[in-house]
Formats: sequence, C-alpha cells, structure tokens
Amino acid sequence: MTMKKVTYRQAINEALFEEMERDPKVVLFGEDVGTYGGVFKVTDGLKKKFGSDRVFDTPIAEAALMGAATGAAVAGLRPIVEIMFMDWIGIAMDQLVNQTTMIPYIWEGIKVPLVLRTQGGSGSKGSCQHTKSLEAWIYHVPGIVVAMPSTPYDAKGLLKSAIRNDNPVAFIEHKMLYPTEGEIPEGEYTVPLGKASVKREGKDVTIVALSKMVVESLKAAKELEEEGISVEVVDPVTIKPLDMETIAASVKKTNRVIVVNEAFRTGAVASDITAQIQEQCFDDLDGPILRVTAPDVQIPYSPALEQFWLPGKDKIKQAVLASLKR
Amino acid sequence: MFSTTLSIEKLLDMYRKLWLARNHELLAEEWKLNGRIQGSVHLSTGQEAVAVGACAALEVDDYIMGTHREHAQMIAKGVNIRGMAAEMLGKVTGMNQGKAGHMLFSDKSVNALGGCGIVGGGAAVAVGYAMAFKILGTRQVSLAFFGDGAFNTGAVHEAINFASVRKYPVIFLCENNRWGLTVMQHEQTLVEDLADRARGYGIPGATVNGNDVLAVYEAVNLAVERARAGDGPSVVEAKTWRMRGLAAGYPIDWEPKDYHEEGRKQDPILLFEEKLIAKGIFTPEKAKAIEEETRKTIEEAYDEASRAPYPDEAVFWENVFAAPIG
Repeated sequence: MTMKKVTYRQAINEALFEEMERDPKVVLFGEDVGTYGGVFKVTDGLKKKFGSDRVFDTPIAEAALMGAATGAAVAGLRPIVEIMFMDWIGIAMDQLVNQTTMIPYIWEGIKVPLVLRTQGGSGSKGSCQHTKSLEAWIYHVPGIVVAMPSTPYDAKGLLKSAIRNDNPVAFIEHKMLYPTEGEIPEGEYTVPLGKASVKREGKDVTIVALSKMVVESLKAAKELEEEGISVEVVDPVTIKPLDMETIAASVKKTNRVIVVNEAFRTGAVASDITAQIQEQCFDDLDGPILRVTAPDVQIPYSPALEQFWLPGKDKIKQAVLASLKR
Repeated sequence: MFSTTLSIEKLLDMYRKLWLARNHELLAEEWKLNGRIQGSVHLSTGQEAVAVGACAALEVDDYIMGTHREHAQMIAKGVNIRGMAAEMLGKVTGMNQGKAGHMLFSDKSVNALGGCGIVGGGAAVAVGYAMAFKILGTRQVSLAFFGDGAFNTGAVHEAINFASVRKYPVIFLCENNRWGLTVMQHEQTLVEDLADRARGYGIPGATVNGNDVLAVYEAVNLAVERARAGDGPSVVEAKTWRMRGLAAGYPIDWEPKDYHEEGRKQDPILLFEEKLIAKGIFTPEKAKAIEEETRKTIEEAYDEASRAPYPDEAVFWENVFAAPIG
C-alpha cells in the first residue's frame, strides 16, 4: 500500500470529503464550519465543494445544533454536527442526554445516525473555557459511541466508520494534535469503531492512554526503554464501547497498569477504565492500577500555571517507576 | 355560523378527535387516581382544540413533536389508540413496548415523533426534521408543540432563530395554557401575546383562541402553506385553558377561580358542537353518538391493554445501541 504523510487535521478533512462524496445524505453544520472552514481549518474547502445546503454555518446555538442534528438524523439525513469547543457541550447536553440517545432506545426502530464532532484538550493557553476535556460527561450516557483517536491514521479511518455507523457517535478530537503528522494509506480504508490499538509493544508495564496522552505515553516509553523498562502502550481509540479484550490481553502480559487521561481526576474516564480492569483482570495484577490525570482544578491561563494542570511525559514516567516499585 | 373550506367529513373527523382526546383524558385521570396508571399523568383536558386544529392542517407524512402534555397532540395526529393505551400502562403491546410511558411516546406510522418530557426540549428536534425535509427536497413540514413555559427556555429561542435564518419548513405552535408548571405566565414573562416574539425572529406570528378549533386550524394552515412554499417558519400561539392541575391529582382549588370559570365557558368541544349544529352539519343526537362511540373506543383500548403482558427482560436489553458498532 502506498502511504503518505498527513496531519491529523488533514486526515479528518479527507475523511469528511470522502464520506460527503460517497453519500449525499451526509451533511455538515456548525459554527464557522462553512465559509471560513472551521476555526481549526478542519472543514476547509467542504462548503465550496458540496454547497451551502450540505455544509453550512449556523447561529451560535449549541442546543439547537444538537437537537437539529438529532431530528435530521431521525428524518433521513446523516448529519455531522460540530460543537467547536468541548467546553460548550453543556449547552447541547440536554439534547444529547434527553433526545439524541433516548430516541433509539425508547422509540423502537428509529435510528439516530449522527456524528457529533468536537475537540478538547489543553496546552493551548486557552484558559478554562476553551481547554477542558469533558469526554466523561458523554461517556456516562448510554447509547452513544465515543471515539478519541490519537493519530492521523486512526482519525481518518475512524471518522469514516463513524459517519457510516447507524448509532450516534461522539468523535472527540484534540486541538494540540491537529498539526501532528502521521502516515496514512493513499487510498480508501476504514478503522473499526470499538477496537483498541496497541501503539507500542512491551512486557513490563501497560499504559492505557487516551487521545494526546498516547503521544505523551509513547515519548515516556521511549525514554524508559533507555532505562531498561519495556512499556506497552494501548490506545482504546474508541472509549465507548471499550475494547476490554485488547486491554486484558496486555495486562495478562505485563501485570502492571497505568491509565492516562488528560481530564479532571474525579469521575474521569480513567477512573472507569481502572475499575473495569480491576474487575476483569484482578488475578493478573501485581500491584495497584495507577492513574495519571489532571488534578481537580480549573485550568488557569498563565503558562506558568497551566503546566501544573497538564499531565504529560514526565508524570507518566514517574507513574511507571512507581508502579514497578509496588 | 361560520365559513370554512373544510369538508363535512373533515369537520366531523375533527369533532370526533376532540371527543377521543377528551374521553381519553377522562379515563386516564380516573385510572391514574385509582392506581391503574403509574407515574405522573399530565392531562390535556380542555386543551384538545389546539392539538386537533393544528394537526388538521397537516398530512400524515408531516412530522409533529409534542410536549410532556402530549395525549391530545398524539391523538390528533392519528396515533394507534390501542398502542397508546398499552403504552400508558407500560405493556409490551404499547407503541414503544412500554419503554416510553405517558410523556414521550411516539408512533412512526403517522409521524407522531413524539412526546417530550423536557420543557422546551423538543423544538430543536423538530427543526432537524424540517432541515431534512428541505435538504431532501420533500414537501413535508414539521410542527413543534411547546408551551408558554417552554417559550422562556433558551433551547426554544435557539431553535426558532436557527430555523428562521435557514428557512426550514417548521411551525412553532405555542400551546399557551397560561401555566408553566404551577406558575402563571405573567409571573414568568412580561409578554402578553407570546406570538409577538415572532417579530424578533423576522418571521410571522399569530395569536388565536386555542379553544376555537377552526381558528387554530386556519392559523396553522397559513403557516403550513408558507412553510411548504419554502418561505420558512411561523409562530402560532393558541391560548387555551388547562381544566386540571399540573398533572392528574394536583389540586386546583388554589388556582385563580376566574381562570377556571373562563375555561369551562370556553369548553372547546361545546364551542365547536354549537357551531356544527347551527350550521346544520349534525344534530345533538349525532354529537352524543360520537361522544359515546369515542368513550367506548377508549375503554376497549384500555381493557385490552390491561389484559396484555408486560415486556420481558429481553426488551430491556434491546436497542441499548440500536445498530451494530464494529
């Protein structure tokens, strides 16, 4: 297969182009996604190519966006709705919890094939209303698939699967990953929802990391290798439903686990993954499962302060070393 | 006397639906109070003409989104009465297999999609229905019922503004019974005629007597014609009177006496009946026969529903995800 190098941003943009080309029922709307091409330029060129009926800017109205995407999906479209910053999901949350995810379960036979695209993540000096990772809120709600790809390859293939899937799917990007590069095939491919990906094989410790924390974990793993520690990095890719089979196989091999999640610690997805590993892999564990997360502190602006919030390579390394001592 | 372009057949159907809804509410109230229906039951007793007049202006393939006070709305759209009765009792023969209950049931066969237990939560979904109709190029319209209380929510504002700027074929029908839960309209907003707000969205608005079924029909029909012509949404405010409290069993003795006196004076069924008799369309005997027939229809539906089985555990686990994921 011929491969090419693209950014995470380009990979998502290609997936949108290809799926809109393939299926005329796919429409895309949100704030600034049309003429301007998105504040992160992820939707660049789509309006020009597919016209203003299928790609359009909306009023700043997240509740209406989420509700309208839901209704449009019920009535025959396959909408992709963008909530520009995940910090604003609260405004859309009633629709997501009480309409989008309620309908397919309660109204037998009716499907809601929509994709909610949004992005979270800190490191942009964006202060606390443009940097949060609130995937746990969505993860908590039954009936929605939640995907958090960390590479251009996964982002493109997974988004294509998400658009074709008949369930509501939340597709959560990370703003700091947009310029990162990776290889993808020249031609058509998809990545299945619900399948984890082992990003690095190792035998001493398993790191289960989400989104950008996969990148940070791989950096940590590389440095730890020089110290003679072999780290396996598992990226769930889809966090709901969680591919526990792949995670359990890794735990069986290493017997030690760190779960890494850039999010407020209390009630984070990491807490739930930790609980699931504890329930299903207890006999394979040689020590407690450790979590690397952000603290339960709002995210301050100053670069001097933001660093205290951000989890990353160094905190991951410390956790691995601590785990090996137990 | 009155003039109308409606056929005698249609007028009789509207009269029958008024009684069907009224008799349903009378029985549902009785069954709630004697414990045969569980949970809360929001009755539309007295408000039937809003639903019947509005739905008379719609075709079967048009969609409606109802409220938490949805019984009359759904009956007016033509839902299967037996399926509805069984749903009210939580039986497997219910139109949503007993999963929905009284506040949010739906019937896809007549595009009654559906009730909404979140005040103000449904309007945006109805906008999505209309978005799909416009993009798919059908002639369908959607109609969102919502109350005067809901008209003060942000989601309804977002939905109307979004639909207006996109010219989606949707009718925003404010069923104004002057009560948002237990608080009267004048304590929730300074606006007297809520359709005045339409001007703020750049769309037409009309306020009509919601107990005059033909007045509701005429106003909604104009809005439907405008929507089908591609000119976008309208607001219709139908002022009506809730003959009961917030829900079955809630006392009304503390509520303003003049409100209820006026409501009884303006009983929508009697108002319409007088007109039909004066016009020579039918006789008091024929009216009585329709009242009896609809009462029997409701009783038989509930009798049958009460003998039907409850859903089993298999139903509980169905459609947690409505489609395959991987």
